[in-house]
Amino acid sequence: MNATTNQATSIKLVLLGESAVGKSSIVLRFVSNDFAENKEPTIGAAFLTQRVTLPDDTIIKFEIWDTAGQERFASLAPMYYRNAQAAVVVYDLTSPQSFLKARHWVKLLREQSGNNIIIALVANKLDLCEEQAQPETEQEETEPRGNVRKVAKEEGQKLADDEGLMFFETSAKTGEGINNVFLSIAEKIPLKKKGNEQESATFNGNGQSENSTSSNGRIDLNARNGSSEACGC
Amino acid sequence: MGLKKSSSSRDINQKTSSPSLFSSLMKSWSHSGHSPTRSNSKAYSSSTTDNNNLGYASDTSSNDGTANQLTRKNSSRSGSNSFTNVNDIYRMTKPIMPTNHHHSNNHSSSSSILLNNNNTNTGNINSSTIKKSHHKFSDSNEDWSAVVDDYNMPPSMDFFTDYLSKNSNTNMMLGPSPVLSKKNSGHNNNNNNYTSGSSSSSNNSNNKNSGTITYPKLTEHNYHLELENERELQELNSKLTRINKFDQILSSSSIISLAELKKLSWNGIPMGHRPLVWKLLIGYLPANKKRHEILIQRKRKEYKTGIYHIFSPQHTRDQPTWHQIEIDIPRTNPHIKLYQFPSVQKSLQKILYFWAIRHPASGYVQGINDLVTPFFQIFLTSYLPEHQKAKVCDIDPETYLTEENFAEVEADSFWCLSKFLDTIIDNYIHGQPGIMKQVSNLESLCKRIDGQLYKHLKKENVEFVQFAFRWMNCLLMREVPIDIVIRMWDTYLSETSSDDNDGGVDSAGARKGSGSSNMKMMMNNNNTLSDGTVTPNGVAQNANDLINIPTHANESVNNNNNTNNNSGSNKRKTSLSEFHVFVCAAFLETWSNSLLDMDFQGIITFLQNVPTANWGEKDIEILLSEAYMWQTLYKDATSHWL
Repeated sequence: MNATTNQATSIKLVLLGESAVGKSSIVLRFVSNDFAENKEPTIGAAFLTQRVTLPDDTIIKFEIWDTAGQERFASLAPMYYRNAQAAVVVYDLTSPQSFLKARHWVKLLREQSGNNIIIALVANKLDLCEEQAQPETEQEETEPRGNVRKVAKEEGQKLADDEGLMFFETSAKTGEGINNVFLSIAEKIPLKKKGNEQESATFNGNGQSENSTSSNGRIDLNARNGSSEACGC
Repeated sequence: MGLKKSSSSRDINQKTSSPSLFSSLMKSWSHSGHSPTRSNSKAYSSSTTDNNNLGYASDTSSNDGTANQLTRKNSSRSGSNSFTNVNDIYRMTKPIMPTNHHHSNNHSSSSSILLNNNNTNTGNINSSTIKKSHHKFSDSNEDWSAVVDDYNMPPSMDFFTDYLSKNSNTNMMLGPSPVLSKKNSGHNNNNNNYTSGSSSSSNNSNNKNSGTITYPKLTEHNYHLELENERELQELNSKLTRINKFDQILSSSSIISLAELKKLSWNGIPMGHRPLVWKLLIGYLPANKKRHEILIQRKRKEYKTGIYHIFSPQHTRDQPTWHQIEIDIPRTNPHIKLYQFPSVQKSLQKILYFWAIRHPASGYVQGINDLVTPFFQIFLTSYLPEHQKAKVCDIDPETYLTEENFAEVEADSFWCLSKFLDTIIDNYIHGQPGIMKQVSNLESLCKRIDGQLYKHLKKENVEFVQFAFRWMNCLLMREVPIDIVIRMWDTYLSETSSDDNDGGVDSAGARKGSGSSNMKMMMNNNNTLSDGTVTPNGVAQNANDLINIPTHANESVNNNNNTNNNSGSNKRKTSLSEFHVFVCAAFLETWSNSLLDMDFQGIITFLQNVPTANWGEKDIEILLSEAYMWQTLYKDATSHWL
C-alpha cells in the first residue's frame, strides 16, 4: 500500500450545520461507504480520517471533525473550525430552517477565517427529492412522499455564488455526490497543482485504528452516481 | 498504585472469569464424555456446609456492603454477573446436551445449591412454612407453565432467585418441581441445572445408589473446572445473599433505612428490586413506606395534569424544542429494539418535551434523551413477570402495559429524570459550564494519576474536551452497553443520594424545601405550571432571552452543593458530577497502555469507539471501585473542585 509510504498531504476539514441534516452520515458514507438510517446524534464532535490517492499519486489525508449540530454545542465549534483548511457546511434540502442555519455558519466562517478557508455548501438528502428519483437513482423503497424539497437548488447556488463557495447536492443515503464533495475540496487546496481528473481517483483504505467503527473498506467508486453537480433537479 | 497494577488486575480478572462454567464443561465432555466426578459434588457440599442458617454461602466480606469500601476492588469479582452466565449455560444446554440421565454435569452450580439448601434447612421447616410454600407454589403455577409452554424462552435466573428469596429460607424448591418434571419428561432431562430441590435430591440419591459408577480421575483440567464451578457457585450464593439483604431492608420496618440501602446498592441492585430502590435512592419515594402510595399517586397525577396542560389547545407548542426532540427520538438507542417501538417513542417524547419546557434554563439538550432511557427501561420491568424482566429490551410494552400503566411509567421516569438532572443541570445550561469544569477536573486528575499518559496526550496535542465532552454530556452512556450503564447507575445513585434518612422523604412531596434545594427549582416550576403562566412560545426559544434563568439554575445548583457540603461531615457526600469525573478517570486509565502507543488520530479514534461491547458487570465494578479508591485518595486535593 504505497499510500502509507508516501508522504500524505493532510487536509483538516470541519463539518458544520444544523442538527440532523446528515453531517455524520455524509462522513460515514465518505469514510466507510456506509449508511445508517438512524444515527445517534453527535455529541461534541467526532473525528474521522480518510485517505485519498489522486491520479497523480498525490495522497490526501482528510482529517475530519464532524461537529454536533445542536445549538447548545455551538460554543465548541470554534475549537474545531479554527485551524481547519476546509469546511463543509451542510443543510437539509427539505428544511428551510437548516438553510438559514447554513447561511449563519457561512457568515461566521467568513468572519473568523476570511478567505483562508475553503467552504463547500452541501444540500443533503437529495434522495428525498422526487424529481431526482426518476433519472438514475434506484431507490429500494421509493417513498411516496411527493416533492419534499423545500430549498430550491437555485437558492443554494445563489448563496454559494455570493459567498464564493463550492456547491453540491448530495445524498448520504444513496451515496450520490458525496465523494465528489471531498475530491473537489482536495482539488482546491492551494498546496497542490495538478489536473482535474478526479473522476478516476482511487481511494485507499482509511487510516483508522482497528477499533474504529468504520470498516477498513475501500470506497467503491462505482457507487458514485456520476457528477452530482449535474443533478437532475 | 497506578497504571500497571490496575491493568494487571483487570487482566487477571478477565482471564479467570471469561469462560463460562458450562462452556468449559462442554469442552471437557467433548474430551471425556463423562459424568461429573465425585469430587465435584464433594466440592459443592463442602463449600456450602459451613453456611449460615440461611443456607447460602456467606460471602459476607464482599457482599454486605458494610465492609470497607476500599475492599470492593478485590471483591467485585463476586458481582452479579454469575446469573447471566448460568442463564447462558442454560441456553447452551438445550440443543447439545447428551441425554445422560442422572450423571449430567448439568447439575452444576445451581442445582447443587438448591440441594444443599434443602439439606441444611430441612430442620427448620415447620408446618406453617410448608403451608406457605404450598400457597406460593400454587400461586406461581401459572408462571411456570407459561415458561414450559414457551420452551424457547428459558426463565431467567433472576426469576429463580427472586422466587427463592421470596420464599426465604424454607423449602423453596417446591414451586418449580412439578413443572420441571414436565420439562424433564419432555426433553430428556436436559434442563437439570434448573432442577428443583426435590428432583435434584432424587438425582443425587441415584448417584449415591449407583455405586458402580466409576468416576474419572481428577485431571488438572478437571481441577480447574472445579475451581471455576466453585467460584460460580460462590457468586450465585452471594447473589442470593444480596437479594435476601435487599428484601430485609425493604421489608423490615416501616421506615426504610436509606443509609443501609445505599451501602448495599453501591455494589449493585438485583433486577427485581431496582425499580423501587432507584426511586428511593433518588428521593422520588420517601423512606416512610406508609407514604409511598399517597406520594406516588400524587406525583403521577401531577404529571398527568401537566401533560394534559401542555397538550391542550391553550398551550402554544415550543416548536423548535418539539422538533428537536422529535428528530432525536428515533435516534435514541437505535440499536435497541425497545426504543424503536412507536409506543415507547411516544412516551419518551412526552417526557422529554415536558421536562424541557419546565426547565427553560437548559431546555432540551441532546444527551438528555439518552439519560431518560435507563429510568424508563427499569420502570418498565416492574410490569413484567419475573422471567421476562431481563428481556425488557425486546418486548413491546404495548403488549403488557395498559394506557394507565404507560402513564405511570412515564410519570415515574419523568420525576426521576428531573431529580437526576437537577443535580447536574449546569451541564446543560448555556455554555455547559458543568461539563467544561468536569473536563478540566478530569485533566488535572489524569495528570496526578497517570503522568505518563497525560504527557503523551499533551505531546500528541490531544485536548481532553475532544474525547471527554461526550463522556460528561452523556455520563458515559455512549461508551458502554445499556446493561452496564444500569449497573453503573446503581452505584451513582447510591453514591450521590442523601445519607439522611428523611433527606429525600418530603422532597417527593415537594413540601420541605429546606433539605433539598433541588426542589426549589421544581417548586418554582410547579408554580409556573399550576398558575398556568407558562408561556412556552416565549420559553427556550433562544437561550439569550433567558438570561435570568440560567442564573437561577446556577444558584440552585450551588445551593445544592452547599447543602451537600455542610451536612453530615463524617458521612460521604458526593455530587454526581464529582464522582463521575473519577469514574471517567478510571475509564481513561483502563486504556492507558494502548493509548501510549498511539498518535493523535489513533487516540481520538480509539477513545470515540472504546471496545466495551463485551463488557460485563465485573468490568464496570472494577472501574467503579477504582473511581472510589481515587476519590478517597484525592478527595482533599480535589475539594476545591466544587
